[in-house]
Amino acid sequence: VTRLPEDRLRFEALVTEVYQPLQRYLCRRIDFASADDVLGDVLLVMWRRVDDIPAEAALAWCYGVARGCLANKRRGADRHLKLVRRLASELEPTIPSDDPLLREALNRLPEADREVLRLWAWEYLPPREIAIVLGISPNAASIRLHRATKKLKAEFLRRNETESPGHSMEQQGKEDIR
Amino acid sequence: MSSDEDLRARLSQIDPFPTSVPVDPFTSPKSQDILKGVMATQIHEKNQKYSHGRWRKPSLLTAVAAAVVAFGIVALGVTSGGPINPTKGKTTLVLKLPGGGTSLQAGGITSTQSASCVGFSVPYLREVPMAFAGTVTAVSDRTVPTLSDMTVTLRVDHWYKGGTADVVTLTTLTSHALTPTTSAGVEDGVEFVQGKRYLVTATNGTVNGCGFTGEATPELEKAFAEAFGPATAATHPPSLVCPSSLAGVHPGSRLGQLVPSAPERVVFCKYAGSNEKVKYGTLIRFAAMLNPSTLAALLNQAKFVPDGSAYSCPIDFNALDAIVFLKAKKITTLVIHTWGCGWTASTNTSGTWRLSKAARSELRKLDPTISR
Repeated sequence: VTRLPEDRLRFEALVTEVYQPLQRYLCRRIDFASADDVLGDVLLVMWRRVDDIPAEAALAWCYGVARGCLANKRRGADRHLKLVRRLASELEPTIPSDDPLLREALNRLPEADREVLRLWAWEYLPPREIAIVLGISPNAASIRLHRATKKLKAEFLRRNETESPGHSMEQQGKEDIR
Repeated sequence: MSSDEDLRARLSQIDPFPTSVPVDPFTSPKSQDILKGVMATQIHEKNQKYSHGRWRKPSLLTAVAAAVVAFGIVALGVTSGGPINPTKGKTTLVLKLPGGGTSLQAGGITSTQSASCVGFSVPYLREVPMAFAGTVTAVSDRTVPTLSDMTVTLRVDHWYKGGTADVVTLTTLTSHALTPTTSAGVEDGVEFVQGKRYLVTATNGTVNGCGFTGEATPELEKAFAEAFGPATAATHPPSLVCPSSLAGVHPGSRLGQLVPSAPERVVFCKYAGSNEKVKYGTLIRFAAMLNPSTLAALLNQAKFVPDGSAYSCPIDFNALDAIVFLKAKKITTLVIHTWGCGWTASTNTSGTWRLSKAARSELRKLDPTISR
């Protein structure tokens, strides 16, 4: 089946809207080279499913697709455990952070919480659209966001308090792993 | 960081790719190459089976077919809401899926004709006269979204309230084509997918929407448990099975014993991490022939890790094991992170614990990825 001209137009219109935000979304979560690959995957899904993309929440819908493609990509990459270990530092985008305490607090949250917070603060989505990305109800998204912000604040305050006596506990923890 | 907005602003400061950092425009030669390639791809209409998201907007409803029944569909037919028909020794109850123009009735709150939603809350939920949990065993197979006689059959595993039937059939009886209602009304569409488990409420024989019915997520289960009492209060003892997903298990901060001592039964469950071939979080295998007391004793050697001393995990593939204990009709689920933080364990009330060496080595027999 070949796409109808109006589908092509619609796809092109969508691309102009989401192309750059999608790149940001991906670069925030994976290295540049992989981000390019995944972008191609996302565009292909958009092309296949152009009829399914909701006009009122196209970007959130595309983020949702990107999220799935990203997970696939990671699964593929992570099969080669040793390689990943070596590349671990490259896979996660490094953040030129002038707020190391907040970043540390964020990193200590479970991935699900981090993703909700990223979608909220970086993609700047309201809970309604976070729900679309994650494939959950708007209600569940609000609840998750609420919990995640609460956890982050708690983690941040905790970090601030333990900062002065030194990092003894954390250092111990790191050594234990090795 | 007093308000959420402050937090949001501060978080945006650590965004590695803020809008001030330029990215490739779609007009660049590289982008155009990618797009050309994509747009040259042939489409197989049958490919449109990906299910993305369970919550659809009205414009999407037209694409929802086959295995999907969404709320917000005009249903003119009226099915009996109560009577229980005995069939083959099993009792069946028929409920109606709500019509687009009809109101949501929840907790005695009747919404307006435009089917706007009453906000989901536990107190409202508590007032609902009928609530159960069940797994979809069949969805009427329609390939064209005309939605006549759409039915969904659920095998009930737990009645929270208002019924005893073993099987519940949800049905939309309509001879009318699909008519999207106001956007507000169908925002909370629920897809019923075969094999998935749902928590369903109904009022006067009609299924409630607006978040009062949905897939059995940990959030929804928690709300149902809060409203109607825990599902473990069933008449028969709870079955000891591996949970289908461990999403939403959060460490708490209460000190005490990690798992109940001398439990009656135990089952060990292994879930896929992000480095597995199967979908992340899938249950890979489980082991049930274990000595519950020995395992519990080993696990209870664990030391509590105080708050504020969270360990950082350099490489964590998020692989999880769960050990489910049954004691005195109560189920305790212990979650163990196997990589990176391989020695931490948590139940939903117990916070982070460090497993003893002996426990770790015993558990490695069940899951070799548990770190030393």
